[in-house]
Amino acid sequence: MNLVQQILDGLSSGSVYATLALALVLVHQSTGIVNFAQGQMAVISTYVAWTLYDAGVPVWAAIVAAIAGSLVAGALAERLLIRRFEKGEPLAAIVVTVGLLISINGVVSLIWGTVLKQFPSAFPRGGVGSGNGGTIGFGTLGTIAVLLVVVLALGWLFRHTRLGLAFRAVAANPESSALLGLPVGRLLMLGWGLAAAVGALAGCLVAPKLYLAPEMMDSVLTYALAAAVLGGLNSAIGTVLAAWFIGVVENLAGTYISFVGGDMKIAVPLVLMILILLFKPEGVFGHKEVRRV
Amino acid sequence: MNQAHSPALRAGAILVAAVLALGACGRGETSSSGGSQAPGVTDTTVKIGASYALSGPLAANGTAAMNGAKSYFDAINAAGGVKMSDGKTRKIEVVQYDDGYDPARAVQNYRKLTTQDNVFALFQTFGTAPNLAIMDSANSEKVPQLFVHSGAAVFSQDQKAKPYTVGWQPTYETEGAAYAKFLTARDQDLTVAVISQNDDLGKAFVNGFTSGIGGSKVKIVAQETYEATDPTLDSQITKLAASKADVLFSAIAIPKLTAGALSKAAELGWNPEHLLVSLVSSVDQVIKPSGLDGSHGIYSTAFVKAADDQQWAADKDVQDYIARMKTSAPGADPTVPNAAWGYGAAATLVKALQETKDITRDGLVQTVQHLTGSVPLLLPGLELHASLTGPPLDRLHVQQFKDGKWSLIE
Repeated sequence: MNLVQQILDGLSSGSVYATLALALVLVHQSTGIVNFAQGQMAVISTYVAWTLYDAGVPVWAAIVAAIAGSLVAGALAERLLIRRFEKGEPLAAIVVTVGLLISINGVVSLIWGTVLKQFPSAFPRGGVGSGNGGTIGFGTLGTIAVLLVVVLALGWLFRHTRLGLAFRAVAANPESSALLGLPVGRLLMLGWGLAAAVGALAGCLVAPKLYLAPEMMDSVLTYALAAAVLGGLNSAIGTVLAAWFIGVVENLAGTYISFVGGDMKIAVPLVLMILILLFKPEGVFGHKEVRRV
Repeated sequence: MNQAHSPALRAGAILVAAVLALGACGRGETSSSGGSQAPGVTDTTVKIGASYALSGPLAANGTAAMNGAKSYFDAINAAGGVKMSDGKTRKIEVVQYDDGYDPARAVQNYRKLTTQDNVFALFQTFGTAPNLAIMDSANSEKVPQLFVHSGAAVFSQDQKAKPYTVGWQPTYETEGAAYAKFLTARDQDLTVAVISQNDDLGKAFVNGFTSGIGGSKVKIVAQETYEATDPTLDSQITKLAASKADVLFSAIAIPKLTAGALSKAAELGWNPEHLLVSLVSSVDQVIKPSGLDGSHGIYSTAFVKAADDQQWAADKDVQDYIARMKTSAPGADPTVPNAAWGYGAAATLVKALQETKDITRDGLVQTVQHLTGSVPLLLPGLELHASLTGPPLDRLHVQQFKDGKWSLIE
């Protein structure tokens, strides 16, 4: 029972990491930046959804409204703030996203306070399986289903549409894209908007499990970054598989390798991240960045 | 010099001017206090400093502790202030800063409080690590660090060596021991699974418990630890569930992780009796989010009257507390234990100020080391009991979660 259950638990926490990692990958794929504030943006979106739900809006409608609002807010964040730093040092833009993380955290605590909020699950309570064969909650199954839909949609967007091609062109080389007549500014805005929307979905999916608080995503961010790096920062399906892999390996290492145990579990994704960066910096599923000189 | 016209520089200059002006105001205030009195004490006020986790993972607890203390001080000030031994009545002025539960920031706050704000004493600084970070400075600079908001024994166990620091609430060891007594008193075979935070805090709970069950019919059959940064404890709970223990001693110090652990155990079909530590016994923060109804037994330790326990509905202390919280911190939840502790600790400080004969920092410490008697909200049978080897409160009771609220077990 223990082995099966640990694997199922690993898939469940892997799905939590995957939701946020997808948003990270999306913003990187469309703008070339790693957005450290992605998790915190997801938290504020989730609070908006919670506020709507608290006011009597059905949970699904509240989530959809929060996603729509986040699309606009994400685009505005790019246009008003990030735009000023996109052309300079990549590090400067990253530092700005860290600043954004801290500010949004403060704003959330100010508006909604720091006491835990219960976010309703969009899926029924309970789960399948028995205590002996291992159980998995409907919440996790629902999250996995939504993840797969998002992955398919993103894959289709980036590979089979003109918009996706334009996104990839802008991320790879903004200047040449602009010379070719692509609306670079609008594409960057849309990239941030889409990532914020995926982030909002992520927040609403994990909140029933992690409980809504201003720092809900802080602990997830480390794992999501590890999953994004492992998956190659450019591949949606690679990221999800990497996140599941991390969740499962972390649990199994914690359970069956005695010196790892419950308290060294967190080292697992970090060690994986270091190994990948050392030996296969483009990630397991990523493709090499080739630059002609 | 064209730089002088840059807007950034101009903004900087304005900021500096503003800070200097503020500083000047601050100094003006202190100098009017007269040179002979202790730092932070004027004829009409006594200034107290605090550092709390108002952001970060423990922000909810830190904010509650602050609100609880504020509601007591506000009530005292509204009634005129504290009547002290020199016949003067002084209002309590609290200066507080956020440290985000970061020891480095707590040290900065300590510096600001002692050198700029010139407080008389530190009161209820929040958390073990931040208090440890300032304990040595406070003792070498002879600044009272009173009633720290932590149950770590280190703050109270050797007041001969560190006379300026003292805790308030019962230690975590005492809490673990109270649960050991609760289980061994049943005199039946019981298996216990234990999960604890992988640090001194977790170890203190477990040590108190382990030494308490020694030689009894209660046996620990599985033990796990976690890191405060873990997003969930699913993996650990799954491992513990395999033991099918009768009791889960959750020495988990983070509300959302406790809530998650409770619901994970239920999801796995494992329904042990849950022993929660007093740090995370909030109904709204922990039990409601977990979705459990307590039918299999959820317990917590307590030393103050819970605001939502019906048996205290007519209790004057509890009524005052709830009303004062409503006035001073509208919207704050009076059932969060940290708020009640903050209130009780504030009352203890006021009692100490009233009883201090020699109004100096050393005089205050002298009084604190001999403080006895009662303060509002303590459970029946509990009293302040100053000693040089422990905090002034040294006993706890066990309460059970029943029908949506806490009820004390007789």
